[in-house]
Amino acid sequence: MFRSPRAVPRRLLAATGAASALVLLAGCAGGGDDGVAEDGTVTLTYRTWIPSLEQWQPIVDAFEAENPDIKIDFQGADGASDYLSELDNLILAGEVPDMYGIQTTSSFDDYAEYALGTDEFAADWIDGVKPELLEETTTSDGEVKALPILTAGSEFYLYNESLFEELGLELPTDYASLVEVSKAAQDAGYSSFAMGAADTWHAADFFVWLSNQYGDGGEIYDAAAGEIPWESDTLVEAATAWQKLFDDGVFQQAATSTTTYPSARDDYLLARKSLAMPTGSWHVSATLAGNAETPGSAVEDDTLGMAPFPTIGDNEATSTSGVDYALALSADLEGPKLEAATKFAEFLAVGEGQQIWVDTLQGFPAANDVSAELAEDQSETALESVQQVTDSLAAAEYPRKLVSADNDGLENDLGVVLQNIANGADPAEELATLNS
Amino acid sequence: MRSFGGRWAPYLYVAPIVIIAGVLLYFSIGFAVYASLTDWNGLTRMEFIGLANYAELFQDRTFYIALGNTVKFMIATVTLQAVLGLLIAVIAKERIPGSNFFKALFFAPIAMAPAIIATVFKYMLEANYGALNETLRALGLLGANETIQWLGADLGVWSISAINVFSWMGFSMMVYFAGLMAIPDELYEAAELDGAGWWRRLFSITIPSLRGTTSVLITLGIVGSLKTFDSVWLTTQGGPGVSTHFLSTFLYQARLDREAGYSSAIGIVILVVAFALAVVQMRLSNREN
Repeated sequence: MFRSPRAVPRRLLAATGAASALVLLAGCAGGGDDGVAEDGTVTLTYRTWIPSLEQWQPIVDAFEAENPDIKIDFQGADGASDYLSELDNLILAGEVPDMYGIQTTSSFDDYAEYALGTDEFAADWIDGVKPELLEETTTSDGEVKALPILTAGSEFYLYNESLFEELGLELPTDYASLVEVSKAAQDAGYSSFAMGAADTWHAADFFVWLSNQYGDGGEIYDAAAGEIPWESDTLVEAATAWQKLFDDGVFQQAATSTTTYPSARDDYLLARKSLAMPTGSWHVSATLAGNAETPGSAVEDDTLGMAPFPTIGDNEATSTSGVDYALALSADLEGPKLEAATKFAEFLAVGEGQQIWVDTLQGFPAANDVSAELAEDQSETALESVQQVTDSLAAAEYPRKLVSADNDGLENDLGVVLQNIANGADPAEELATLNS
Repeated sequence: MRSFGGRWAPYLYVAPIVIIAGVLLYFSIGFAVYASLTDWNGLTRMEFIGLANYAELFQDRTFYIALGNTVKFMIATVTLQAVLGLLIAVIAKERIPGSNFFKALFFAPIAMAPAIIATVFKYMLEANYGALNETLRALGLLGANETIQWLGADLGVWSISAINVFSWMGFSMMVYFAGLMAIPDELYEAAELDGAGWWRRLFSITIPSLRGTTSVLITLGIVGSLKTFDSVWLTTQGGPGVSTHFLSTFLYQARLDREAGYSSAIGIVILVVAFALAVVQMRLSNREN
């Protein structure tokens, strides 16, 4: 039996009224719109892909000890690409996080549009940040919109020193010894250098590093800017050398189906099935005593080290480097929230937070006068590895990432082309497909 | 007694679903159509460029690779799932010892998350140390330093098809089994009296009687193929290169590359293809009926 039609709107109105009252009450209970609770505590939202939770805890503990009236609602993500999808959704929903991590890639300007210029909150202390890094966090309009926090570089390799010794092998120093070591490893039933070439970012990082060893160096940045064709002699030479790394067995078979993380790390290096894995400077942390990666793995009792990847081309190899992580503050911040966010930004960029994070070796310092302080129980190999990586990054001549005004997806496009070349495609023809 | 809503009652009954579908579905489709006509990076820049995304799409080699892979996958999985599902259902109906156990066994993958199945297969099919190649080596069918790249450019699409067949064959089997139970036993008894053997009964009674079921499974298979994503992304991510991209992963990759307008155009093409295939399939089915 149907109810009276008039009863429905009345009930609906009553329910709507009650719900509205609840919403209003809930709004009042949370404090004012300025993000300050009744007890004076300011809560800031922070969205990012790094630090990991393990790295974040000591950072936030130290910050909140210094600033008990500021709470940080931290939410990490499973990798940079997932993070960017989440950040896009938040921005499109009009909920720009108070503080957010930002990459200095081709899309930097897009995310910087929602950020506060650093001159509005960091003018008093930004000179504590290495000035050359600020260029990377400057928009095409010339405004510095994010604070460089960590730097990173390529190309290095994480190696199993114990396995090298077991097989009676020396670390390679040039291309010939690279091939020799790889062949010896395969003959002994191991994979050589477990390359995660399925990751387009890694293939592109490696190739940027490699290409600078040909010609006068630096041509790849001109190609990315559209100033020279991609199939220039120098880049074709570099792409041919890239192909040879696969053909000569330096990289394992089916490397273009292997991801760096987790496959190359977990299924090869940590499973004690490969001698080494090419990676970036951020992974030097795996050489340290007390690292979070090796316990419970097949290499738990082995000694791991990291070294710059040997020269392959005509010129001496130098690492590429750049801002790996920058922090942006929302342009919507004002009043007490802006004041609180400024304190956190200073803490992370040039204060104690920078030191704590740098000590994990997730990245290298963007601040002047800060260097990683390692525990005293580190092995000689670990100390040497950190020193080598630090020296190599200090001598870096070229940026790690390509920036293109016309193609936000250049890194992926280049990675795809490099995978095709690795699988036998003609280097010149493949590179030519990148010309826009 | 005056009924609820009077002459508007039918409209009021369907209003909730029309509103929900309108907002969630048709608005989204409408927005995707509009976005496909723009140069949109997903955040800031959104300029109207007419049909330029479609023109670029039809010249993009990756689109044809993705389309080809989707079609190969569609044909392979729809056919294999239907044939194997029907055979197992027919055998299960025979009430031979253990048939219930095998029914449960074949149905088990349906209860597993596709992401878990894809991840397990990724490890099994890994070229250097995966279980499949290691088994082949142990049996002496593969040399010590040889590999078969199950997830490589040549075999990747077929491996992904096999993963899908493993995942969904049990579903086809159960749908066919339900259909088989509705076929009157008298038909089989009459055929047996006429001297029809097992295969003759299968082709002359079972398969024609299950035409409706097959039609539904084909439609579901076509739509499922067009939206297949997880088993591709979690095993090959469309690589090496773009060799194992499907339309759905191609769309996703375009969005990751911040080409949201282009990505929307791919989505609209998928929608049109799905609609056209569904219409063709239904017309063929109606004609047969």
